[in-house]
Amino acid sequence: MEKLFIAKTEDTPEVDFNPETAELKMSGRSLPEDVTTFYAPVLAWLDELEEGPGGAYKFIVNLEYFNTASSKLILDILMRLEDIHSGGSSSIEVVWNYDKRDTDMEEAAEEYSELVEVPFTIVGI
Amino acid sequence: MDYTVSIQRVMKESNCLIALRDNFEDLLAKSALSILEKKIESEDIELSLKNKIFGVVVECVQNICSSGLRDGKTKDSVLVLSRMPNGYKIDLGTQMSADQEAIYSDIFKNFDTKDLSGIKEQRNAILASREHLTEAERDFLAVADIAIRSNGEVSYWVNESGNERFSNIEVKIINN
Amino acid sequence: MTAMESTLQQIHAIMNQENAVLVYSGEFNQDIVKSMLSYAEGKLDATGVDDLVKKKMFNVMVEMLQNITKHQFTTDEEQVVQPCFVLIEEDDYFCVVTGNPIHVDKIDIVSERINTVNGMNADQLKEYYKQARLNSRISDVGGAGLGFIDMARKSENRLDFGVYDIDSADYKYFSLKARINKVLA
Repeated sequence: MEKLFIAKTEDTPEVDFNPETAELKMSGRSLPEDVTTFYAPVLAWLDELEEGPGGAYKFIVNLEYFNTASSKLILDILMRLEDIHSGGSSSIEVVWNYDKRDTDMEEAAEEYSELVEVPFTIVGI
Repeated sequence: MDYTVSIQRVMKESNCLIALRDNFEDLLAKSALSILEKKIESEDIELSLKNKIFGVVVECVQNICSSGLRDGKTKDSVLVLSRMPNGYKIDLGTQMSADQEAIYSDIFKNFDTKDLSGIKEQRNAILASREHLTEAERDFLAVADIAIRSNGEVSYWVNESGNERFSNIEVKIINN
Repeated sequence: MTAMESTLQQIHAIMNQENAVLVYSGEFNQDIVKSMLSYAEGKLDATGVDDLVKKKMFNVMVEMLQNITKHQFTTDEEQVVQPCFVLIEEDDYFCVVTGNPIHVDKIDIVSERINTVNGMNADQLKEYYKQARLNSRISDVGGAGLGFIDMARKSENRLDFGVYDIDSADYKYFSLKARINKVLA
């Protein structure tokens, strides 16, 4: 599988999915108006991962902010990861980092962890 | 140009930080958000409060303002950010089509803004659906987000003056 | 009707009446000036104006914003007014409007300067600017003198201004408007 790298912008996050290191990183902020277009390659990559060779992957999130449009896509990503995890050939671990001062983000991470069945660690930094 | 005297007085008396009038489409939404963000950044308040205000402002600009007349008529949305003694206020006035008005009235009518856990449940249900979201669902998510960030301090009403109907949203973010 | 609703309506009414897209009133500093400029840039890009028009707009805005930044405070015990900045967009042009307190003693000289530049054509302004540049070391004209000339030259239109009463014995409110055409003549 190829790497997926999308550089960060003022309103979209950096996406750095590396099959070699088995780390799938997403960081920055997400507030594009057209979320579908932005996240399409991310979801497509995850679909490929599901078909691909097994492995133990870590999805590492470092988001400072995301709008409601993104919130849906982020859950879509998490649900894909849940499918991959429960599929059997790969295991997924989600690590959600957040700024300790940002209580809303902590809450959002907690809620996401309740909505999907994947090992989910929430870390206040 | 004597309106400058009036406007500075109104803004001073109401502690308005900034007022924007726009149709907030695409590129313009970005510049609007950028200047609003700078203004919020420069306030001497905690990160969590800044993020709440910013989050509300984004949802207002990206969802509520843009759900307007789509039949070629210019939309006229006004967003005012002000300081209150115990927090911040976002006031939004926008023209909406009759359909949009109905959607928003419905959303507000059907939830008790103080019942945050109820709102979160509804929101999670929408998020978890594997389908593409409808416009009404997206609008609901926006309003839910605003309600959650403001701890329920959000209200919606429609003003009629002459032929014009103007939707108003007032959000208070109280600093505890 | 809450008090705030009527404030929103008041602001909205004024903005509508004047076709204002941005109104800021409060303290001015370099950061604020920068964010106003980048907002205007976003607006200009969305409108698709010529780079030259963009440059003129910027120059005029910088002059006007720096002026109000400099003249925003009074020596009055209580600050009765705040400076303000209004960006107006019409079909064929933009207007930049500023308001700031002005000491009564300065009113005559400021009015005279603006009236002078308004009476000149481009060539005359160019010459006048050169002279003023040379003289600015001697007199206490400083920024304001060159500023109006520059605004008039860059905007290629008359400068509009007004002086209004406020609740102060020593100060009035000075409002200045520059108009920049979206398409150069």
